[in-house]
Amino acid sequence: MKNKKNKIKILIVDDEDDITLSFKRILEFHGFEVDTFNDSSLALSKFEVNYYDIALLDIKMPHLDGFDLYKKIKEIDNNIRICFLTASEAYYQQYREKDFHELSRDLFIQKPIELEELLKRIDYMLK
Amino acid sequence: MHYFLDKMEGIGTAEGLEESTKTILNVLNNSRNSLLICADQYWPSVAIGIDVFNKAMFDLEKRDIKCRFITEITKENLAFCKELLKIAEVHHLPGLKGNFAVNENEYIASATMKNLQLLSQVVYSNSKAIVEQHYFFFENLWDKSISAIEKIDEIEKGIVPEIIDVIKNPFEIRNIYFDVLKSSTFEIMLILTTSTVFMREENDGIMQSLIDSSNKNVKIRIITPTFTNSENEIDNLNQNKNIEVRHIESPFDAQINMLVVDRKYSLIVELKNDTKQKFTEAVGSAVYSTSKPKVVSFVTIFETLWKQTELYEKLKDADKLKEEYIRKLRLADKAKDEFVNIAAHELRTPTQSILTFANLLKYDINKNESIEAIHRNAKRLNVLIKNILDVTRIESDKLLLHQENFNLNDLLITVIKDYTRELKKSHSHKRHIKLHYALQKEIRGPDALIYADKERIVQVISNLLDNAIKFIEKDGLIMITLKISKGDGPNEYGYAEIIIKDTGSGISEEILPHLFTKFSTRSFQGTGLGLYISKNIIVSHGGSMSAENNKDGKGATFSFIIPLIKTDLIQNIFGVSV
Repeated sequence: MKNKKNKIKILIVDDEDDITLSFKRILEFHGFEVDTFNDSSLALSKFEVNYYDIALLDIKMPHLDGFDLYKKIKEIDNNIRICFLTASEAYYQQYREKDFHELSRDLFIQKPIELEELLKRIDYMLK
Repeated sequence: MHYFLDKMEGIGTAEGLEESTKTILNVLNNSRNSLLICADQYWPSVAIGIDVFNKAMFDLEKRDIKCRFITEITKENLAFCKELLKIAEVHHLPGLKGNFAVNENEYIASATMKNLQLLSQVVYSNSKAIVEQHYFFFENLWDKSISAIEKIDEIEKGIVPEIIDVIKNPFEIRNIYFDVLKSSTFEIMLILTTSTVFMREENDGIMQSLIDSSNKNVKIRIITPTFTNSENEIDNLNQNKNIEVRHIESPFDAQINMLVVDRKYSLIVELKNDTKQKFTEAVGSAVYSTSKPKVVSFVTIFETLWKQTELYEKLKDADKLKEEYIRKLRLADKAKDEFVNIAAHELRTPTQSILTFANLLKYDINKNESIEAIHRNAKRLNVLIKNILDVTRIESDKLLLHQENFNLNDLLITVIKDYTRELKKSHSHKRHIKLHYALQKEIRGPDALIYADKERIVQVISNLLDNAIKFIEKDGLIMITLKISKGDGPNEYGYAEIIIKDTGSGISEEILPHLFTKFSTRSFQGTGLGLYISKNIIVSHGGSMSAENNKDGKGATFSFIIPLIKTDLIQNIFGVSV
């Protein structure tokens, strides 16, 4: 792992305060280091190259949506593993089919997700 | 005996009443086997009505002479013709001119004949050739004429004689056209196949004839294709109460003009040169008919086309309706899909938070924070459920109001205080939003009495305040004003108006036209049901709601009015800043 303490670093971007807060708390409890942002533009401006192992991005967000944020992050850091989080089925399907059809279905997390399943997905991404 | 009868074969003229009568009687008496007479409509009155001829005529019958007569049978000579039938086989030939008679050897003719009058001049001949010629003429005319019995029957029953006439003279066609139109007593059917016909008709005054007939209460129906160049003429005709013009979809292939009057007369005019503006130059030939089967056929054709125009109109309307329904269904379907997506999003987001915070509770991490978050998200789910139920109630007209008398000013103060407290608590570290409440100068707080469902009015005010807060990104001001307008409109006590003006991002131009319809949302959080529900609550209280972007370009203003139950206008300055 890249970080010195061997802790996996996760970036979470979601415009819902309670989502970022609850995920931060539970993932930290499970040994991850977590940074959260509710504003996707701010998340991008603060993004550090080669710092995070995983990014969990909400799709439906004001100003800069999850897909655009994905593209911009990938331009900066191609090694990061990114997973989408969404509560809106139609929205993600529409984009997935158009621009992200090469991405595995496993990289799309449909909210609500149980904790066990979320941890499994994170494991899968790290492999 | 007349002097020239003794002479050899020849031709002569008998002059004077006496000579002429004698000559005629001689020919009648000389007949041995047959006698043929062809004479105009006055002849029957002469043959039967004048004694001397009457006797000779009936003598023919007694002598068993085979007689055949051709004449024109009219109402006037009907009785005489019936008598003639006792003597001979009689035929009717309309418009018959000239008079002649032939027996085996002799021929007589007279140029003129008058009702019940003796003849004053008769041409006589015993020339075999002339006799034979007139036998020939007679047979020809006989074939062209119809039985007198049939004709008498028609006249007695008032039946119009059946005529089928091909007319080639344009002036004659025009005259018949006018005559037939003018003779109408109850109905005219007209099919016009080209627009020039229409224009031409007007030029030739036929349109005026139609208008004249309509003024005599003749019902006129016209079928014509739609022509852009004669729309005005058609509209003008349609203005007349007894004239109805209907259109059929495509122009006729045949260039004809069909006229049926009183279901008795038909005139089919073939157009030779449609570009000509004069009727007489444009028409080719015409078929005029009073033949019942023919006229009935044309009536059937007309009625079929008339019904078709009806169906065509209905079909056009039905098509429009169908398209409109499909459009509405598609919109409703799209709206439903949007709603399902939005509702799913709104259900999943707080559910996710509740699930995760509940997990945290299990691990005993930040217990209080989790409990509050669970509570917050459960409330959000509750609002969603309430909204969906409200929409269902509104759409099925089952929105029940628990109305009571209360003071809107007191209610506003309470709600605004609650909001101010909440704002300070939850967002003070991120946003600075100030609420300011002002009452209209002239009124006192206690005067804002309304009869309404308190909970629902709080719901509306909260919805408007929530929206205002949601669209203020960082710092902003929300001005709430209560105005009273007395005695205007249908409510005798006037209205209370609540105005909520914010300094947020305003309403997007895209949303503005359908702001109060379902699922109109620009927000990334929310169902787009709030304003729809709020407006319906206010409307069900007899009020109305409106919204606009602020003139200064910053923020939006929402307002609603609700009827007052009693108020007095008293000068007082009253304002609360909370």
